[in-house]
Amino acid sequence: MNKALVISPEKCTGCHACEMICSLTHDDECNFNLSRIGIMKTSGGGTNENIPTVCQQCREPLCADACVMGAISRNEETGALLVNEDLCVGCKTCVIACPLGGVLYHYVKECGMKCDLCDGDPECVKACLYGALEFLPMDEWGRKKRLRGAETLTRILEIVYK
Amino acid sequence: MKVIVIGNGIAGFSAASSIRLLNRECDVTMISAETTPLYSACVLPDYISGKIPRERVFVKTIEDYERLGIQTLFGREVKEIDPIAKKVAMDNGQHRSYDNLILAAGSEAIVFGETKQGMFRLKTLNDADEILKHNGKKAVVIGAGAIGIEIGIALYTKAYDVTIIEMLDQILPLGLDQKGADKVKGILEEHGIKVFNGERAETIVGENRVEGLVTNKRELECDTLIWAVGMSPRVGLARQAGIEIGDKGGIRVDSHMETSISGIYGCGDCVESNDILTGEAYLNLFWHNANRQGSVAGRNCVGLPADYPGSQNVLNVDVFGNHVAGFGFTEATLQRFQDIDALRGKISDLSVIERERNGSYYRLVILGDRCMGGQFINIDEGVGLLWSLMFRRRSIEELSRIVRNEELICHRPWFRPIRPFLM
Amino acid sequence: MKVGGYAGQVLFVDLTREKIEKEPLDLDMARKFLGGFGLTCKFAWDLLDPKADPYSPGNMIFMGMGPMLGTAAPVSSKHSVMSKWPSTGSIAPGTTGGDFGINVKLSGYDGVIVKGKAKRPVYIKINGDDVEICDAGDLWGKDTYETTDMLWEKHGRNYAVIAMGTAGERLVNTTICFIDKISSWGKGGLPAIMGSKNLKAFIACGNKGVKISDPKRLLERTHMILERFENYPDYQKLVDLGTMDGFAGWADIHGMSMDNWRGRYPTAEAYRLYGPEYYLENIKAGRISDPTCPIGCKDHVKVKKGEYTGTEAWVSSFYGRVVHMAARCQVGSYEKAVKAQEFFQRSGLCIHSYTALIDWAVELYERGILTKKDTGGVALKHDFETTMYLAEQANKHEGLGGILSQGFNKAIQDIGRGCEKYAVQVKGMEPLYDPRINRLTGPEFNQVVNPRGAHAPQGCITLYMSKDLPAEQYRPWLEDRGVPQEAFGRIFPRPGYFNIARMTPYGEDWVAFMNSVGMGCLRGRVDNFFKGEDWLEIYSAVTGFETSLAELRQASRRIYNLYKALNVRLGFSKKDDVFPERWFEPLETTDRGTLVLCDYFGTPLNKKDCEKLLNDYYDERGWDSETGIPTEKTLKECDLEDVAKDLKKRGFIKK
Repeated sequence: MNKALVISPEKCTGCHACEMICSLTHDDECNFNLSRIGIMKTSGGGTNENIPTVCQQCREPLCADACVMGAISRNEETGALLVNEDLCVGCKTCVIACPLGGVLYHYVKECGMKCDLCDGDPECVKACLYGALEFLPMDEWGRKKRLRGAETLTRILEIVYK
Repeated sequence: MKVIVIGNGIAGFSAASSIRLLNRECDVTMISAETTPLYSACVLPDYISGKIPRERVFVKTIEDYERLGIQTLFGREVKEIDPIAKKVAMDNGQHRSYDNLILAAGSEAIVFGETKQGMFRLKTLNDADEILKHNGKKAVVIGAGAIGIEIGIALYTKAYDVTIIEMLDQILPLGLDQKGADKVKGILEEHGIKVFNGERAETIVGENRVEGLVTNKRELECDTLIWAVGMSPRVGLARQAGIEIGDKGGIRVDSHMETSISGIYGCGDCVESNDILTGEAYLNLFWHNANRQGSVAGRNCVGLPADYPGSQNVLNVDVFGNHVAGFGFTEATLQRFQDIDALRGKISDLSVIERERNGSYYRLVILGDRCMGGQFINIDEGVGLLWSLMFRRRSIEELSRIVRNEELICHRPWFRPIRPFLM
Repeated sequence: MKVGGYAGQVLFVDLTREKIEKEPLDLDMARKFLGGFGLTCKFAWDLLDPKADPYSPGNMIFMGMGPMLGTAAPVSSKHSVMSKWPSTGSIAPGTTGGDFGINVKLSGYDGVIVKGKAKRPVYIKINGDDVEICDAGDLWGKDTYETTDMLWEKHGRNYAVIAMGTAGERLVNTTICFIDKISSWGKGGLPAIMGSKNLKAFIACGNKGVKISDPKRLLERTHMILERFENYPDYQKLVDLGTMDGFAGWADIHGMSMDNWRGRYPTAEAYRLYGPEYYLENIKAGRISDPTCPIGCKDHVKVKKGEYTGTEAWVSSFYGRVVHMAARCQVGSYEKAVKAQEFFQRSGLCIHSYTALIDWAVELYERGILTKKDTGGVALKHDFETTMYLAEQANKHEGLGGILSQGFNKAIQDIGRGCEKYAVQVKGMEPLYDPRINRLTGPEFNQVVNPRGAHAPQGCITLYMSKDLPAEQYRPWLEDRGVPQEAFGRIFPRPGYFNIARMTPYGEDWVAFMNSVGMGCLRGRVDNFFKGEDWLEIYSAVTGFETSLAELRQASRRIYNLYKALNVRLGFSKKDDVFPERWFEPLETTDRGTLVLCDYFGTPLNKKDCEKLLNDYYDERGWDSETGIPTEKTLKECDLEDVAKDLKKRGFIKK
């Protein structure tokens, strides 16, 4: 089963480590604008107010559909959708097609830029000790979510019935 | 099973390759008048301007077809379809039989008047090569749609003196309203490209070569004339085969991309497709629509049902470093509609949200409670999200309520990127 | 070799002439002073007129962003601001984390220097190459949270905002700025300085990158450091508690003084009212982290029940603020502490400084030195009402609260009547740690000698030296951080003992080092996971310059001596390095008996002992023991010849 980059925004503290590591490993410099993952910060920055945003490697990718050069295709091993920089002409149609802001524009190389799952070993996941980013097989993620849901429900029931 | 795909544009290739990815047993033959593997017509202006070399125009190689097991008959034209015998006749007299047929014949550039030296259109790679061979100095581009603007900029980059004329009062009529269009016009004029609105081409001056153009307002001297007034679906084959043609001029297809004749599918520029916003049939002749239609047609062709969600009108051009984007309907287009019922709203319910800030501009066109279109200059963030919310028919009032309320949006953080548009 | 780390530019903003200039960064100077705090010292030495009045257009604001700031290196977030502080008259740094520094660095600047005075309220906007002085008309009169929200609304949430509150507009000295509502910066009156310049805020959004000389090397070391955090069994607990991991420290093991240094906050009370479980259940709303810190400890707090339900605040050291509200102000509950905190933060009052003044004022009132005439009819007590009353007055810069809010120096002048006898302050700033309770360790001792004033906790060897560990426990840290071998004989003169006065300089230098390169944190919860070689590796990987810990320590020593020289030029000397009188009085506690000033090993210290320690400190520092001023020899050793010349010319150095 393919693994997916799973985000838990409630654990994100807005520390930017993922953004710094991503741009470092891909472009040899630390730069928010060259990071394929971005922290969307909202108001004060408390719980659920730092949202890591990154390509979700959709099954039916809107970006690949829209690409007039067919430059976006899937790496079957990692499941990641990759931009072929030799084909890309930098028209940015993929950027406006993606509803998540998962595909961005690399302003230096002048082509589409997106998460490539670091060839199956995502750096951002390793940089986030808070657990906001995990690289999990889908069934494991399902179990984790259900467990969290059960814990929340238990707490609610305790309050209601105490 | 034998499948024949007529056409080697993105629709045809998408259909053929999606069949192949799902089904290795059936026979897939692609017949196309084109002699080269798939290339992207959308990037031809970049090729003309010199931004990309010729090799980069190609999207696939011949090996890609071989690897996919698509038999190719390039440089061949299909002359006739016999839907009863399930056979196609080619220009060399040969016949091929099929079990299912996919029509992806594409569209043609609309041109008026006799062909003269110096007169061009821009649809195929061949057209682009011809333009490049021509050593002109002064160009007039007829039509200020996306293609007209792009070719105008490309020629300007090649040091041509460029004039763009447009019949309507604004440029980019399919994607922008007057205000946005005038901004883009301003950018073009700033760079020295002349743009004339409300200007109709009347007579081409010159015997064998283009020497000028007479419009309803003036005489323009030029040695290069480019027709960019639109594309018309290639439906000759279909009509002759008895396939129903819609009243917009394209082949009629259902949501499985099947034509009126069972076993014959259509996709790409030659069909009229149901718009994702209204459900009504339009000619939304764009690469991304053709791409998706092709894969839907392919799947249905080999017995794997798939529904086409609908086609999208999208504008995306770079005007001297300014990113101009749009989707859906403009206010002007909605005003002109006869079939208001399809929109489930009254023209009196039409309203607009627009804002300009620091070199960026956007306009949302709202009908009742639904957003029907968006226009953006130099804004990338949130556009895709807004678009996807639009064609999922989300209520603008509900979205506004959510983004304005800190509590609500805290639990729906995925809506944050559209906040700047609705606040 | 590709040079990385440094952005290569310094931004100069002249508010009077409304001019913005960018100067290339002198890389040799940058290497000599490392960057960040070091760079601000150098700029202040060269550009700031020592005679400048803190409120005058001639006073300048120097901000320094070190070479490691804005990189992927773990805990690379601290940056410095330096100015002449109105509350103390000293020239000193303020250090902070938060998003502002990295956004300035990622805009392409290693430093920002502001001078002059704007004609009308303005704020400075930094967005890469675009730097603008913008109109702040609608922000003036708004508190820090409102200002921040308005600027986010106008420019986007991805801008980092430094805001000063209404207190700063009214030139209140005991104020502090807030970055993104949470990170405090500029204790000593940055808001007042900004207020005097009509400068309401700074905002920054970076759009460039920090070049890295050897990316693989940086990545490798980053992984190595992160692994240590990951493998720590109590890691999650530390993240959950944030700064409240220090609760046992202040409530139990050490303690906080109260009643203006006349008592110790009872441990049982601390647990009853302010325990960590209560915090987790009813107060904590979220965890925020400084850039690239894997063990973030900043808080989003929100009162969940009771009278002040819904009160919300963002605090960089929740524990720190609670301690002040609990022990100094004795507000009586977490909820009231958050409520008070919210007011202080919104108005921009410095909780550290102002609560100490409130504490002092209550004693003055008890002694009849302040009467109802001074207080406006209100009886001053250690409670929430008094705290809020005086704070509100301070915010408006009126009444007794307003007088207190100018800091000890001015308040003592204005109140007179012998009130200075009861003021526990050094150079006009309030100490935090009571050496009678904590024993005289690094943080306590540094309060006496810090050129800024009694600022905690700049002189430490990882915060809070736990009591009763053998002296040798402190060797490894010193060795690991490159303390020269020859110093150990003096620091550890005999087994089972260390001389804190000789150890402190190496802690001070290390903090100066961290704040100059822009990586590291003096909180033990972070520092304990780092090794000295981490900085060496990362400094080289980022900048491309190969160096040694000894060289980096030399640079830090240089920086610290320059920092001291800045204040020598203002007239500070040994006479200002005082042990507050009250520390020599026994402390009667309700639950720990009587405590007296002791060294780490429990040996009581009298004034003569402290005098000796002070001389030991000067000696270790290479400063004249009569004057407390760096000697010419020391300055020359530090490659600060020009500084020595200047001090000689001004008559501060006689020999």
